[in-house]
Amino acid sequence: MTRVRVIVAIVVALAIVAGVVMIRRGGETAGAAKVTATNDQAQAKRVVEARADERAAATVTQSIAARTVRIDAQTDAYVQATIEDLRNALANVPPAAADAALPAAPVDRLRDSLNAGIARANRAADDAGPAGGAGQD
Amino acid sequence: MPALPEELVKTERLAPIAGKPSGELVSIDKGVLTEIVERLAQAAGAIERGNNRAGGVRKLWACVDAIMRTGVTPAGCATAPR
Repeated sequence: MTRVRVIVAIVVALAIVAGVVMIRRGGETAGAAKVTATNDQAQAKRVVEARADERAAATVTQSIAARTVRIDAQTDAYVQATIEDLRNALANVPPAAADAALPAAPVDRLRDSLNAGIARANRAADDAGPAGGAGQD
Repeated sequence: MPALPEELVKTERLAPIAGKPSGELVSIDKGVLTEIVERLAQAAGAIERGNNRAGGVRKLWACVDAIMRTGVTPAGCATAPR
């Protein structure tokens, strides 16, 4: 009688231990899967954000480059106009007559024309940023 | 983004021509004088373009930095003024 009780008690105890182990295993697996899924989601979200940032940065880069090209073209046009003005100023000087003093060069007009271009260049330095005033002569 | 090194976006300046006469006269061929003043005008234009490019790099750096930090394109970056 006592023997049977002991055996039954051992069997019951073993069953309980087996149950605990099984439940624990299952819980661990399910928990790990949950954590992995959450991590994957967070990772995917970060990747999506980074891609969006990259696209925005690429757009801004294009737009700023295009703007710089436009401003370059404006400067080129201005330089061309200045050169025309300088040529005209010099072309308007009459040829030197024989036995007469040489005609004066139109230095004031040349200076003003060139100074306008220099002022533009210096303004561009001012516009170029907070430290734009720290340039050199 | 790291801080933009200032040396990379340094602007250049030209002193304006004062044009103060010294009183001593020399003769110069018109063609030579024309070429010299043309080159000077082109040099001033080159400085203007360089300064504008420095400004572009500075702006680009600031805009990309803001995008990377906040994820939002700041005003003045998406559509370039001027």
